[in-house]
Order: sequence, then C-alpha cells, then structure tokens
Amino acid sequence: MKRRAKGIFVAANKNTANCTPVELKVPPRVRLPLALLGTNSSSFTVKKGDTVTVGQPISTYGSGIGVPLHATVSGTVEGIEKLRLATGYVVDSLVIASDGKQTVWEGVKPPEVPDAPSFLEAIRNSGLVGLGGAGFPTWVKLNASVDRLIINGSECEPYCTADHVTMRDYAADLAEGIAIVQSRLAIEKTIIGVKHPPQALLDAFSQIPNVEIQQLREFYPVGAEKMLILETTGRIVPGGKLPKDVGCMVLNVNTAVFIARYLRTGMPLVQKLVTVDGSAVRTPGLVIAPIGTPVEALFQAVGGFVQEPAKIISGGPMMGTALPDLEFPLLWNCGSLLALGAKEAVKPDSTACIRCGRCAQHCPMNLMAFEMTEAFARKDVDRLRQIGASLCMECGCCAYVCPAHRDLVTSHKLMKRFLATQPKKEEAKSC
Amino acid sequence: MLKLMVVSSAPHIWGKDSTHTIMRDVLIALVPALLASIWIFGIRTLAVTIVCVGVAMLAEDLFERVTGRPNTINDLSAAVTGTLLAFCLPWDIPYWVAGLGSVIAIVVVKQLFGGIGQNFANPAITARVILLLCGFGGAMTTFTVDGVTAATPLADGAVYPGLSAMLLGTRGGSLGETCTIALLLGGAYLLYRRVITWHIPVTYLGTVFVVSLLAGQNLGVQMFGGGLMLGAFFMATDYTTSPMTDKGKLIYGVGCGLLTMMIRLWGSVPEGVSYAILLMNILTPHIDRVVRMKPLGGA
Repeated sequence: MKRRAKGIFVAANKNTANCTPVELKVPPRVRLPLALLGTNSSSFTVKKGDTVTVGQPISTYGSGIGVPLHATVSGTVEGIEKLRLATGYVVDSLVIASDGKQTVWEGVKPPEVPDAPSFLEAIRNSGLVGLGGAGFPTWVKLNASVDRLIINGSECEPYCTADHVTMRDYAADLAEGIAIVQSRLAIEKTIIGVKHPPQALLDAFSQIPNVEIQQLREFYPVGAEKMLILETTGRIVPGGKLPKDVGCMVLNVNTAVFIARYLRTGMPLVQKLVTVDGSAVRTPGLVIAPIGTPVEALFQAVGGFVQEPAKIISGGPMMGTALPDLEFPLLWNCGSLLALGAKEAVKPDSTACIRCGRCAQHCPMNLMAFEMTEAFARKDVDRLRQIGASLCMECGCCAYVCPAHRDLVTSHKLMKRFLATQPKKEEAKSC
Repeated sequence: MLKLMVVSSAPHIWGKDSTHTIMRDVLIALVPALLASIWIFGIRTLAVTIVCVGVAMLAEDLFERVTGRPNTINDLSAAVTGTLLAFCLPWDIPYWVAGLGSVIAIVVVKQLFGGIGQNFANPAITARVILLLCGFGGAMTTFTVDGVTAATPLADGAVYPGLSAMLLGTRGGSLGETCTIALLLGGAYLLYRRVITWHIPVTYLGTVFVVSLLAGQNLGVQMFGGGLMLGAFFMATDYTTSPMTDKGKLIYGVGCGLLTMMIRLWGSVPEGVSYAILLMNILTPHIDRVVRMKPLGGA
C-alpha cells in the first residue's frame, strides 16, 4: 500500500500573510551566543573593546560542521557573557554595543566561486544555517549529490508567514537561488512545495523549466523534511538516514533566497525576517531585525502588547521554544516570535491515559507514543529501539491531540537523549 | 528585575478535546436512546438510569477519597459507565440490584485495576455479566412491555415482533438496547464528533450480518433484536478495552461479531453481545502486542 504523509489539522492563524515587513531601528545592543549546531566548540575571535562592523566574522568554525558567526551591528565589543539557552546549555555570548551607523565590513564583497569546493566554502563563510527553524548548517547539506531539490515553502506551523511573504515579494530572488543550487549541484528537477502559492510566485516560475510548484495538502507537519519528501516525491527516508540518501535536498525558501543574495552581495547572515504575532501582540506584523536583538524590540516594533505576555515562543507554537525572558536575543534560526497571554501560556493538567490511541493515529512517523512512554518508564532500551522511538521528530501531533494532555513530547525528548547515551547492542556485549 | 516567562516544552497549543469532552459527547449520544426508552418502557427507566449513574459517581468519589487517588468525578467517565450499565438492565430491575451493579462496575472492575484507562474489561458489561451470573438472571432477562411479559426476540420460540417494532424498540429487551433508530443516531453523533472511528462498529455489525446471512437467520432479529447496536457503537468502542490501532480495531470488531454469532447460534444463552465483547476485551492487550504500526522509514 502506498504510504501517505499524515498529521493533524491546526488553525493556521496566518494573520500577517498580507503584511509588509518593517525594518527595525538598530538596537543599542545585540547578544550573539554560540548557539548554533556545531558552534558549541567555537570561540570568539574578537575581544572586549574591539571595534566591529556589520558582516565581520567574530568566531571560529568550531567542530566539523560549524559555521562562523558575524557581527550584526557595527560598534564596540562590550565583552563575553554566559547565556542559558532553551536547551538548558549555557554558552558564551558576545555582547556588542551598537554605534547606530551600521558600517559594513570592508571584507563584504561577492565571493568568487569558480568550483564546487569554493562554493561550499563560501556558503560556510556566510554563516548560513537552515532558516526554516532547525538551523542545520547549509554548507553541509549542499555537499551532496541528489536528483531532486525541494524548496520548502509550506510553513505548516501556525502564525509563521516569513516564507510566504518572501515568495510573494522576492520570487525573483528565489528563482535565482534555485538556479544557482540547481546548476552548481547538477540537480535535474526542483519542486517548490507550498500550500497557497502567491500569484507572484506562480508568475515568476511560469517560464522556468525543471521547476514545478506543487500545492501541498493542508495539514501539519507537511513541511517536516521527511513528510515533504514523501508528499513531493513519494520517497521515504529510512530511519537514521538523510534526505540525500534518497536523492533529495530540502531547502527552506528563505535559505534559497539568501544564497542568491549572498553570491550577489557577499553580506553574511546578519538579519532575519520574522513574523511577530500571538494573542498578547497589539498588531501582528513582520519585522526585519539584526540577529542578536533582544526579542522585546521586535514586539515593540509592531506596537507592543495588548496584554501582559506570559509566554514568549521563538518559532511556531507546535515546535518552537519558549524563551525565558524578553531580553533573550533573536537567533539565526528564528522565523517567528509569538507572545501569548496568561490564559494560553499554561497547559491543562495531565490526566490518566485513557488508551484512545489518538497519538498513534496522528503520528506522521507512525509511531505509537503510548507504547514509547510505557517502555521509557521501564527504561527498556531494547523495546524502545525495536519500536523505533528515536525516529520521533518531536512535531507535537501526539501531544496536541492527547485528550489527557500528557507531556508526550517532553517524554520523547528525554527518551531520545537517553537512547543516544545507551551503548549499542554489539558494544554492550563486548564489554 | 526582568520578568520571567512561562517556559515549557513544545507544543504550546493543544487540541480542544479532553477526557471530559469525550465522555460528555458519549453522554449526549446516549440521550436519544434514553428518551426512546422512557417512551417505550415508562418513566421508571429514567429512575433506574439515575440510580446507576448516581451510585457509580458516588462509588468513584468515595473510593478515590479512601485510597487518596486524584478525583476523577469531573471527567464524567463514571457517569458514562453508570448510564451504559443502566442501558443493559431491564426497566423493572430492583433499584438495589442496579446500584449493586454500579458498585461492581466502578469499584471492582475499574478502580481495583487502577482507575480510568487501566481496567482490562468494560466495567458496565462486566457488571452486567456478574449480575447475571450471581442469580439475578431471572430478573434480568424477563422483560415486560406494556404489562405483557416478552422475551428478547433472540430467545428460542420468541415471537418475531416485526421490523418496525425492532427499529422503534417496542420489543422485549434491556432498557437502552431496543430502539435501533435512537442508537444509530447516537452512533452517528459519536462518529461525527470523531469520538469513535468506523472500524469497530462497521466490522462488528458487518460480521454479524454476514454470518447471519450464511446461517440463514432472520436478519432483522439478529441485527436489531438484541444488544448489538448498543454494543457495537457504545460498548465495544470503549477506548481502554479495545485495541489502539486501526488494524487492531478491525480484528477486534470481527472477533466480536464472530463470538456474538457463535454464542447466539450454539451457546446456551440467547444473547451473546456482552460475552463476546468481554472476551474480546481480554484479548485486546494481545491484539495490541501483535498488530504493529510500521514506523515511516523504520525497519
């Protein structure tokens, strides 16, 4: 039987789909933490008192896949402080006091990319990470041989509109980005997956061969990488494998657009287009802001709050992370900021599992959440491996539909971390 | 001082359904059958139902107080159990027997096994079966309609009351099981509200239909003459005691249908719905163990 992607229906709340982004006034201070995948072993290359300019690299590559970070404002380095991330890890964070001039670094110029290695190197130096939310370093992803490029314009998370607005206003940049990746990597066909394609997007691509716009079905999480690949190509990524293993590469709309702009201007990843929304926000809107800006500034840019915010979410309401306070900096992978009032901030209490099976019925990965939770309670490693617990992508469908409001995703996150620390069977035998 | 925000793991939004809304929907779905029952058997059916629900909720409340468990009265599951138990009793059952049934359902079958979500068998059905086996059988299978004693149409030698009587429910039977139209209405509501899926009712009813056809039975009697409609939509679909996967539900539904027909055709009792569901309840953990969902991209 052919497998079809599945999930849940959530209210889209695309309140800002028709908004025009506003550019944020340069904030007095930005904080840039070593918060990206692979940057935990990086170190800063500037020190207190140094003068920095926009686009200037400020950190080393770090481990294997890391990317350098760049100053997002011009000004003076105030120092390095510790910042606790939503993951619980505490990392170094560079504080830059802005001079308000946004002077551009003299090294910012279009990169010369005659061959494939120099192209990847340039993308790495741009600091580009997946702008859809996961923040995986793009240069690593681009280092693959595939036959399908899939552009993710689904934005299946409620509220988020940054991709929609980019497709609406910058379809030409998107076409350019796609053309670059397609020719660089010799990819035969590109599919743009989008729920409601804006007319501008359809017009821009009507004459371009080898690029197909596919209208996606309306469900969450149709934009999750594995779901999107299944929906657009019918291919299934085996557990523990990557999209490239089935000949696919998935790039977010804004990631592709960034590649085009970067090759044109050489300006690294220093700012973000962010949807600002939520019940506590006065007028939802879109803001373009330097990375590292305290999130409060973005909320103020759309008119502030109508009620005291009780919960701030970076990302969508299904998979986003709750931020500890309004001072927290805007990060590279954040596409939306939501402020929720007290009423919606706290989850209803968990009650006993009534074994309704809805978690399994709605799991896009076809996992059985109730069983995973039971096996995890027993710390039954073999059972957890057998039922594929580590395939969970934490999309939250199970927790959303659970009538007992059980903390399934929390449990699954702990479970995956636990499983990762357990020795493999062979290793266990040998010792 | 910086205001600290609420921090919790994603997701940050939740569906509207809760155990309470699900149980409320089941109660709403049972209302047509209750009204029909009052019309058919008289106002005493309402009294029996109130006794069953009242005692069930009281028993749950008291047990949880005594054992120090979280109170689950508000999730309405005890009210559902009470109503379902009443529905499979005759309208003229002594009140104390009805109350005893509720105590058995809640305390013995549900709470002693760990409360909601932990019971291995449907509390209402198990309580009914225990009452039957404990010597109240005579009181529970002799039905009077309009003052005339009438056996269930499934009993040997029973007079066939005609299809319209079967659909309207003016026949012998337990107080909530007879009005097919009202039960179908309730079942449709549960399907519409997505409280239940089609898998169990369709396979259960379908299996009974096919076996009756093959065995040359009166289809009207087999489909509408016993507790099948009540069982297929309201009893067999109980979450806790039916398989969690869609495939498991199909097997379970077919199993319920086959067992029902085996008991009806070859058993020593005229009706098999309760026993069939009870037996399949017991098989449910095994069905859940054997019937697996294949993870996407999994081995």
